[in-house]
Amino acid sequence: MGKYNYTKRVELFWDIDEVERDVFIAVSSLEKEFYLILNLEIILKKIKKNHSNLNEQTSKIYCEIYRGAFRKEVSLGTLNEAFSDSFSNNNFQVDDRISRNLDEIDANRVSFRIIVTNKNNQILASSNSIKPFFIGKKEEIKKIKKNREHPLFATKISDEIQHPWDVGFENDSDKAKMIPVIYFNSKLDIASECETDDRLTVVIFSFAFKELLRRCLIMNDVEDNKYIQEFLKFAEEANSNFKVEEIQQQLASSSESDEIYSPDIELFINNAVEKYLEQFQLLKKYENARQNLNIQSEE
Amino acid sequence: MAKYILKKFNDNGEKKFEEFFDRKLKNKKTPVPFKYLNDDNLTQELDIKIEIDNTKTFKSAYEFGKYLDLKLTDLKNIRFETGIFHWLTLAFFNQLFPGPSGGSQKIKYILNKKAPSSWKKHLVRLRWELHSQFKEKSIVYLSKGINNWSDEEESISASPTLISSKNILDLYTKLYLRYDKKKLPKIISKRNVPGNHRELTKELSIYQLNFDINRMSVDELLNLLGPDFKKWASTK
Repeated sequence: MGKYNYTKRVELFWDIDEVERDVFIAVSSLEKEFYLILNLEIILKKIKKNHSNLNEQTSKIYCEIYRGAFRKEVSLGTLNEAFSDSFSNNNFQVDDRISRNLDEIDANRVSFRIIVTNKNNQILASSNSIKPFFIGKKEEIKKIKKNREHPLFATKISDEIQHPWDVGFENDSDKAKMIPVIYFNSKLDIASECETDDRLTVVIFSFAFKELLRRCLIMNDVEDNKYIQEFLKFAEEANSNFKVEEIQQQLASSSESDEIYSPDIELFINNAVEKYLEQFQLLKKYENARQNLNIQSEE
Repeated sequence: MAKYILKKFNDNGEKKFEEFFDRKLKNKKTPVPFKYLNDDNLTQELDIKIEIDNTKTFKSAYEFGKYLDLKLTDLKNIRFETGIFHWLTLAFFNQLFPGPSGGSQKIKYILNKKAPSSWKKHLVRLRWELHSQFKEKSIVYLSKGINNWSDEEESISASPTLISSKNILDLYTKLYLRYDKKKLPKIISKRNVPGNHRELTKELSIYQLNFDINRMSVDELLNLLGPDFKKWASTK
């Protein structure tokens, strides 16, 4: 960040490994919200290196959310008392002081920027344009933060699909960066309905998981793709008798095009689905949603 | 031409409109297919009925943006509805095409779904967006004719920080916007005079790296600037 740096500002990093990351931002298209975790200890250390007389009480933190001429400004307090979601002991805690709603803008297409300024409006620290993690439900943050893993898949609203929802891969022009995604048709309101009805979430997400895993298994040249490798690792951990490598060899050596639907592979996939449902407590959520519906209709 | 009920092009409608535009680029005599606007195979109806009068003429891009903002105000989440903006582009095509010097750059008329970052160069969508965000203040960027992609629009649309900032818009207004005796808006900066709006945009692009320009008042911003810029504030 040397170019035109007249205020000794430092750069806030977001697209690097978890331990070094200054800012983590995730967006849930379903809940139309963003979640933000500041690594305040690292940020303070960096700023103080360049500004030894830093006044933490008067140094303000802002999150700016952009799309075209639309800009939403969110105050994140001061360096002395920052507003930040947090994750510790496997517990994700939201900070209610953050105005996190993304109703006014398409949550799929926003960029974020974090800046820290002093009372003279000088920028002490800033990030470049942050592309957030896209997640389904906010609980998925636990997985990213705990295991330093990426979410198994993202969700996006799309105007390019014909079905109500579909699965596929974002960034599919680059095999190293492809991300498994559930697409929701922009003409319908299924994403919002998932937000309010866990039954729909369970039905869609469980089948989407299955189909995305099947597609990941048959993909070639994705050894460097961390998203797909983590997806496959998740599935392998649910299967004591099968290794992903063995399945891929089985697929490669078979001349049958429907080998991917063979009983062995079906069992592998089903075991993974079972783990997915259990880990995210999806069946429990389905049951709770059903009971809530029954209570409402009785009322 | 007549009054229409606003519709939205479906995928096929958008494709047909783009094909027409490509043909028009090759042959300026290609007739404008206004029949697409009511073609059930190319359009879909919106939930509410909005009348669009494409015989209406606009004195400036600002008047056009105001009209669009007023008409579209009850529609929710239209920011990414390319089908609506393409439909409107066709409806007002005769006023939008070509530019005053024969300009016909495709991104000014067609929203490329794979490159949404270029949408801020669109002659219909940008005018709607600026007026819907900044209302009457947007005139500082939109004082030229509706087919005229102005220098002000070109320079401001280059930066997401600048285009979205009300304070920057107020600064542009203080420096460069004046009204003549007939109370018509005019931009006083000239390309060949130092401290013009293009230079200001460049200067602010550097300042925004160092200063929190979105939250600085116009006077605070002015204090940052050199005399070439400040002089415009007192120019009648």
